Amino acid sequence: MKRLKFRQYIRTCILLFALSTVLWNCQKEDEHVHDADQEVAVNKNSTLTKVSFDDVLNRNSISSKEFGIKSKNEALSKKTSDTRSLQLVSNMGVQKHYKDYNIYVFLMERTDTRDNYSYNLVVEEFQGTIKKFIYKYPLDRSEDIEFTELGNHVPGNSDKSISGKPPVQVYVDTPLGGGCTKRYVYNVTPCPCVQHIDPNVCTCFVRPNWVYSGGPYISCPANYDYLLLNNPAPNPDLDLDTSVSTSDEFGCIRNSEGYTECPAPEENPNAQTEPGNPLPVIENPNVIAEALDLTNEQRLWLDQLENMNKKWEIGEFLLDYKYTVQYDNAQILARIAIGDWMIDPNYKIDLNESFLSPYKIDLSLITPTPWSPDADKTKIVCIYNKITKSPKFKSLFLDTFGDSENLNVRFRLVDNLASGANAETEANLQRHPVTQEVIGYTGLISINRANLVGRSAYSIARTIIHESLHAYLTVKQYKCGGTSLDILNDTEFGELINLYHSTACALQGDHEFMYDFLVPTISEILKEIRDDFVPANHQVSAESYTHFIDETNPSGSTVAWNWNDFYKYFSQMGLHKSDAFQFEVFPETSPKYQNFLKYNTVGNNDFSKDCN
Amino acid sequence: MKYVIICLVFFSVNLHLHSQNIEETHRNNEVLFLLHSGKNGNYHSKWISKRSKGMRATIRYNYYVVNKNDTLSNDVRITLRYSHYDDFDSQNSDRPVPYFKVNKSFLKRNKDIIITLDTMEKMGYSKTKELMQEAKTIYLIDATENTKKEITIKQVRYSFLSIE
Repeated sequence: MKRLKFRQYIRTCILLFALSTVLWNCQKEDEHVHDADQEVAVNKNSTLTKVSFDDVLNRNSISSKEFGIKSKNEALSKKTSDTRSLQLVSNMGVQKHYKDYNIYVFLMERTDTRDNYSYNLVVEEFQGTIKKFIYKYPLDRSEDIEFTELGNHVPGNSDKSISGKPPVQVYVDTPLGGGCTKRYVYNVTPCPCVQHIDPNVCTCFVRPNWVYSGGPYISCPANYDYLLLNNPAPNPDLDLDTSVSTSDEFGCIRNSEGYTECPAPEENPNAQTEPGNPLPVIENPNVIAEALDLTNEQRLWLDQLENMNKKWEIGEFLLDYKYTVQYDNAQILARIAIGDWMIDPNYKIDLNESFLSPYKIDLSLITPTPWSPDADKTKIVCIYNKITKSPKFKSLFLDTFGDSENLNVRFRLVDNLASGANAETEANLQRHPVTQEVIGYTGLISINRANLVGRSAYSIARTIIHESLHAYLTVKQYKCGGTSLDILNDTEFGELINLYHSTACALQGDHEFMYDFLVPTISEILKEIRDDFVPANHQVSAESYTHFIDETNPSGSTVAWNWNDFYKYFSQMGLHKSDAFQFEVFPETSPKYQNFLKYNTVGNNDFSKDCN
Repeated sequence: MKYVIICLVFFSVNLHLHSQNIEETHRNNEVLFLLHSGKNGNYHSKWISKRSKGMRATIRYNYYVVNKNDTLSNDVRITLRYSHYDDFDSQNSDRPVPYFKVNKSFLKRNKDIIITLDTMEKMGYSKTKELMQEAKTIYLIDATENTKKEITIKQVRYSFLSIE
């Protein structure tokens, strides 16, 4: 009996272990399957790949002659004065695959002359048939896009062209409440890739073209007095069955179908035109290289760049500002972006967003948008806005950069920095072409997203103050203006900081100067903004700490929290590589260094991580 | 008898799988287990500060990682900080940092994955730093807190002075 019981016990034991092992393994496999499904779901809509023109011909079993491409000699012999001559810039193009569609786009250029257009050969492949188009994009946006469908690939008939393709009519409806709807009508030329019409979701390199056609038309349920929308007083002259003029301030009329028609936006400044009128452009990489005066290395990188979206982004961005006074700054940002992408192809920067801000202190790169919500960006902007409440920060930073045409600062958030720093400030100087004198400055403050994790908002604020002072010091170093410091006149300031830079170790010039002259300034700013970042109960908790070393009597009892010491040591974070800090505060076992660590541990980690 | 053998085989297979799982986690840098002597020495140190009454002391565990293959650098120190609470919010709502005792056999069973000063020296400063930065959770065992039967495992945070 005992033996039977033992056997049963052993069996149960084996069953349980086997079951646990099987379940454990099954669970792991399920996770992998789930991941794979997700990947398919993300990528199933469309793919973008590089393709050669020869591949397109081979895939459709047609020769280049049948396609309509002439050899160079043929083109020269048949050329007439009234025909434009286009050639492919490269054998390589881009393929967009979507459901049953394949769209190929190749860059083209005119060989006979240079004009203010960009040309693309667009080949649409659908269920064994192909259509060929030449898209012509006016670079100055003064005209609509013109596209010509090329004839079938029948020998002898390849030059026959059919112009135009009816755009799609798109209604944009906005609910107004009470069952009423406001409608705008647009004629939209879809992008050639996958016939997208929505510019905000189109990931295609050629964007759809929206042209205003009519609206706003306001429609309401039959029993609703539509005039209440704009005019609370009922209109006795209103005849709902026919089109009549009304006393509506927008000059709208209601037609027999129940729609209210209003004048076009050009005639009606109060009406909104939504969405905008984006114009697609593909910029030839050579044009980008020339526009940016790139180095050979940068040109090579651009030529070999497989990601056409990036090329398109740079080209479109430059074009946006080509005829504006901001073109110089746009070129600087594009050059910076290319430099960053060369180092890290996955580096994220949205060129278009960066220039939307009208401010000299540009926060557009760290400002979240409805289509790109970002908790880190929201937090950074919140922190920045709170810092600007400090009168001291305002006088040094905002007054220096906010009022000057030549001094600019742009903030951005990057996924990581190679140096591992919390943030970096890059200086771009603008020099007079003849005298080489510095006449302008654009600072780019990069905040490291990887180092935001677990840090208090107050600590991030200190980093922003620190980087802003780097920008300020460069302006003073080159005597470009800016607010003066109380303790130094501008000439002394410029000379002194140059002296610091000439004698300090690499990258430490500003830090040496900050340690000697600006710790009180940073402390003052930190003091002014403390209550916006540190909740009252956190202040009480900090004040209850009693583990700080008495620097006048290190072997005696420890002492309580002291806010002035906190501001001093918290301001010194980031300066710890400077000789001044190493000389004054080191070695590691010194009371000063221990207090530096203790105060910074609280400042960086313990205070609130939220910014509200 | 054969049932006993089968049972033991299943048991050891299960243990092996469990061990593989931890190794996998280590490789992915998600969870690290560190062993510190808990004493001050040439290449390791421990700084204790008692912040206030009723809270366990804040301890900074330092390793000074020197490897002849590392590029010359002033930085050799790897610091892990233990604090009773993560921040004031955790303190006010009394959510302490994980701190627990386990059987001493944990050390033997996991000796392959527990990182010591020797392990760090073999990896070098740069790789050790990378490992610490990428880890999601780091647990530390302070050898001076071990008893005959139990060891204390506490969650620590990698602490570094970032440049700006």
